[in-house]
Amino acid sequence: MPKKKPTKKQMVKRSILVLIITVLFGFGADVASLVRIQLVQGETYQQKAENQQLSDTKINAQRGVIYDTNKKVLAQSATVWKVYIVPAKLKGKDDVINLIADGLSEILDVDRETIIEKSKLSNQYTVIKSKVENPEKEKVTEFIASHSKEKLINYIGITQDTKRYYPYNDFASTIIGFTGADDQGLLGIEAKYDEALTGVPGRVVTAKNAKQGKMPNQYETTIDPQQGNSLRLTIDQVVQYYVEKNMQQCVEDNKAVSATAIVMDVKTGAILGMVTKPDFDLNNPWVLANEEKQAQVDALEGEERSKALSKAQNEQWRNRAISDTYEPGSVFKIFTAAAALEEGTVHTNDSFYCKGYVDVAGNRIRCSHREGHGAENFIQGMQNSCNPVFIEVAQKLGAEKFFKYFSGFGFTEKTGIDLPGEADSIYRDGDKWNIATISSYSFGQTFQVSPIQVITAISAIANGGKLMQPYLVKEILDENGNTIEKTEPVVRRQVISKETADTVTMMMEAVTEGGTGKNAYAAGYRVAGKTGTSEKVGQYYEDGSKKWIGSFGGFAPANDPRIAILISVNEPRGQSYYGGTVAAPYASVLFTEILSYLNVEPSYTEEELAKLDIQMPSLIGESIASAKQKIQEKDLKYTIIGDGDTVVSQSPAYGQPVPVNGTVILYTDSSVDKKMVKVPDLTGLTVAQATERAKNAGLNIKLSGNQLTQTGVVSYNQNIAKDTEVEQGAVVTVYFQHKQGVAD
Amino acid sequence: MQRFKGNTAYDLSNFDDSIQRQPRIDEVIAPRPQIVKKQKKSKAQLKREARAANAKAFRVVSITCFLLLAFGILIMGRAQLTEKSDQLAKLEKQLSIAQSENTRLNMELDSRVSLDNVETYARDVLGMAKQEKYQIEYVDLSIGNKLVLSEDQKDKGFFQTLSEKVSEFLAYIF
Repeated sequence: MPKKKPTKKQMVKRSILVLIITVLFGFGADVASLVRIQLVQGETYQQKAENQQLSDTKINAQRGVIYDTNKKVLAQSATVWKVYIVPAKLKGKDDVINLIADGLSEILDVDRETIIEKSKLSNQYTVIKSKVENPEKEKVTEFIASHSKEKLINYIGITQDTKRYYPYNDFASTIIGFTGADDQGLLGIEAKYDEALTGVPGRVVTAKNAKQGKMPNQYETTIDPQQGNSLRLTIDQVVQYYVEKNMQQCVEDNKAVSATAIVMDVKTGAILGMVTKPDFDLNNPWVLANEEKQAQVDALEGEERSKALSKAQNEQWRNRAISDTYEPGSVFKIFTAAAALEEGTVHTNDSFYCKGYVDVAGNRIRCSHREGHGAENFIQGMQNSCNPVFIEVAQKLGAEKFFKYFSGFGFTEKTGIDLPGEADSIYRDGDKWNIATISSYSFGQTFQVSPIQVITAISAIANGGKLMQPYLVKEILDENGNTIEKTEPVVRRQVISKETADTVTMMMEAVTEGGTGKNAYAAGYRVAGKTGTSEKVGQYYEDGSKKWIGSFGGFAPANDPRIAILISVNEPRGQSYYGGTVAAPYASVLFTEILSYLNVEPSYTEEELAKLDIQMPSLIGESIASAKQKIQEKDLKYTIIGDGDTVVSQSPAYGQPVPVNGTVILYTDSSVDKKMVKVPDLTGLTVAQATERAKNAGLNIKLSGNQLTQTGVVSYNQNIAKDTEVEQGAVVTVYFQHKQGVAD
Repeated sequence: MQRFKGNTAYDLSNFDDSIQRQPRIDEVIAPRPQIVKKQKKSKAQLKREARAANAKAFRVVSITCFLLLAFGILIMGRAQLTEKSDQLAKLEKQLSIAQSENTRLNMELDSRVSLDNVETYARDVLGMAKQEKYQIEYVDLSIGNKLVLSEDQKDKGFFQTLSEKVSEFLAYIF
C-alpha cells in the first residue's frame, strides 16, 4: 500500500512540535541562565551592580549625651567632617598632588609626605583627616573653590563624621570613659552603656556614572542617622569637683602614687562623686597625662616602647575605685563590731585589756600602739582602733557567724555597679576559716576588697542596716529628652538591725570626736568614721621600707546620715602613711564642702561658736573714735598709723575674717606708705604658737581644720608661702590637724 | 457514477432533479442605477452646520488649551517642588551644621567656665573668697521664739480691740 501523504492538519501539528522543541532547546539555555542569574545568584549580581552604579557612604549616628544629675553636659557628640581624596583620579598628576598636599597639610595640620603617599594609592577613597571641625572644613571648601582651574573638586571630598566632646577634659574621666575611632565606647559609662548611647547610622546613596564619578544631586538619596539615647548620671558636678580638687591636693601633699575617693548617697546607693587621681584627659585619652612617664616611654624604642606605652595607658585609665582591691585595714573593724553587736556576743560597755599584742596560733599580732592601750571598753577599743580588742571580739563571735556578716555586707560578691571592670574580692571561703583567719580578718588584714564594696557596706551602717546596690545612671533619655528608663534604688538585703546600726554609728562618731579619726572632724557637722592603715604585703620600696595604704571611711551627719565618703591613699610617702593623717583631713574638708552645698545647715556647739572668726567691719570714713568703738565691740585690737582724724584705709579689708582678739591696722593718712611685712613659717606649731608668731610679725591668722574642737592640733600648711611680703595686718590661713593619737 | 479525487465534499443535492433549483445571486439582475438629484441645503441648515463646526473647533481648541495649561501647571509644580525640596535639603544641611557648630561652641564655653576655672579666676583675679563660717550671723534660738508687738498695738485698750474685732467680723459677714 502506498505511503499516505500527511494531511495538512498533521503538518500543522508537526510544525508546532518542531517549534516547541526549537524554543525549548534554543531559548531554554537562556531561560535557565536567566533563572540562575535572577534567582540563584540574584543577590550577588545585585550587589555587584549596586557597587558599580551606586556610591554608598555611611553617616555615623550621633551618640547620646551624658549629663550629670543636674543636666550639665559631661559628654556630647556633634557633626564634624572627614576630608578625603580620590587617589584613582590623581594618577600621573603630580602638580595636582603637590597642590593638594601643600594646601591640606597647612589647613588640616597633617604631614605633607603622608598626603603624597596616600594620593599614590589606587583606590577611590582615602581619608586624610577625620573629626575635622567646621572652621577647618570651611577653609578646605575655600581651598577647593579657589583652585577651580585645577578642578580640585574632582579630587578632594568632604563627608560627615561625628566627634565626641568632653567639655571638662579630665573631669570624672575614669567614670565617663571615652570612645574609639569608630565611635564605640571603650571605657567607663561609654563602654557599659554603649548600646544605649549608640544610634542608628545613616547613609548617602549616590549614583555613579560610567567613569565612576558621582552623578548630580538628583540621583542622591540621604537616609538620616538616628541619635542614640542620652544618660543622666547620679554624679553631681559640684560634688565631683570638690572630690577631684581634694584628691589632687591629697596626692600632692602626701606624695602618694594615687588617691581614690567615693561619695555615696547612703539612702539610695547613688554615687555622687567618684575620683581616682591622677587621671587623664578625655579629649586625648591616648596621651599620657604624667609627663615623667611619657618621657620614660619615649626613651624606649620598637616593641618595648609599644608595650610600655600600652601598660602606662591602661594604668592611667584604671578606675581604682572599682577595679583595684586592697586590704581595708582597721576600717573593717566597723563590720566586725556590727556583726558582734548584732549577734549579741559583745556590748559597748564590755571590758577589755590591751597589752600591746596578742598571740594567735603561735603568731604574735601587735596593736598599732605598741605599749598597749591598757583597760578599755568596746567603744574605747574602737576609738583607739585596738587590734587585740577586735581579735577577742571576733574569736568570741566565731567563724560561722563572722563569715555570715562578712558575706552579708557584700564582701564575697561584686556590688553590681553599672561600670565595667569591677574587681572580685580576694578572701578565704568561710568553711576554711580558722582562728588565725578570724583574728586577721577582724582588723581587715589578709583579704582584699574593692573601695566600692567598702563604701557600700559603710552606707549600710549609715542607713539602718540596708545593703544597697550602687549605681551611676539615674535615667536613660530618648532623643527628645523623655525618660525611657529610670533606675530605682535596690535594697540587696537587710544586713543588721537599725538598733545595731545606730550603736555602730555612735561608736564611729566617738572615733572622730576623740579617736584616731579626729582629723575628720568637721565643725558644725557630726561625723561618724573610721581610719585604716594597711601594708601592701610583699611590696617594698628600694630602701626596703614597706608600702602602705592609708584610708578613711565615714558618713555625716551622724544623726541623719546623708552622704558616706571613702578615701584611700595609695603608697603615701610624705610625713606619715596613717589613714588618720593622710586621708581623714581631706574627709573633713569634703564633709564640710559637700554638706554645705547640699544645704545641710551646720549646727555649732557653744564652744565652737566662741572660736569662730569675726568678720572685719568697714571702718573707712569713720572717725577714729567711732572706729575704736566698733573694733572694741568685736573683741578686736587696733594699731593706728598716721596723724589724721578719719580712717582712710584698713587692714584686714572689709569682710575678711579676723580671729577673736586679732589686731586691726587703721591708716589715717593716705600719704603714709603701707607697711609691708614678711610672712613667717607658721607650720608645725600649736594654735597658740602660730597665733603668737603671726602677731609678732604683724599678721592675723585664720585657723582652718581641727582648731574648733580640741587642743593638741598642729599646723601643717599655710595659704601664703613663707617669706612672701604682705601688708601688715593681712590674714594668713593656717591649717591644723592632729598628729598624736591618729596612728591608724 | 462520477468519480472524484481529492477531499472535496459532495453536494448531492446538485444531482437531485426533484428539487427546483434556485437562481444564484449572480444570476439575479441588478437594478439599474438611478441619478438622484442632490437636495439643496437651506440657509438655516448651512448656518447651523457652520455653527456646529465652529463649536466643535472651539471645543477642540479649548480642550487643547486646557490640556496644555494643565500640563504647564504640572510641569511648573514639579519644577517648584524640586526647587523647594532642594532649598529644604540645603536649609536642613545648614541647620545641621549650625547645630553642630553650636554644640562645639557650647562645649568650648563649658570648658572655659568649668568650676575649676571659675574658682581660680574668682580667687586669683577678682580677689573673691568663699563664704566662710564667720560671715554667717548665728541666732541663738535655745530660749524659744518671741513675739514682738509694735507700740501702737501695745497701747490699744480692751474696748478698742473689741470694737475692731466686731468691725472685722461684720465686714466679713457683709
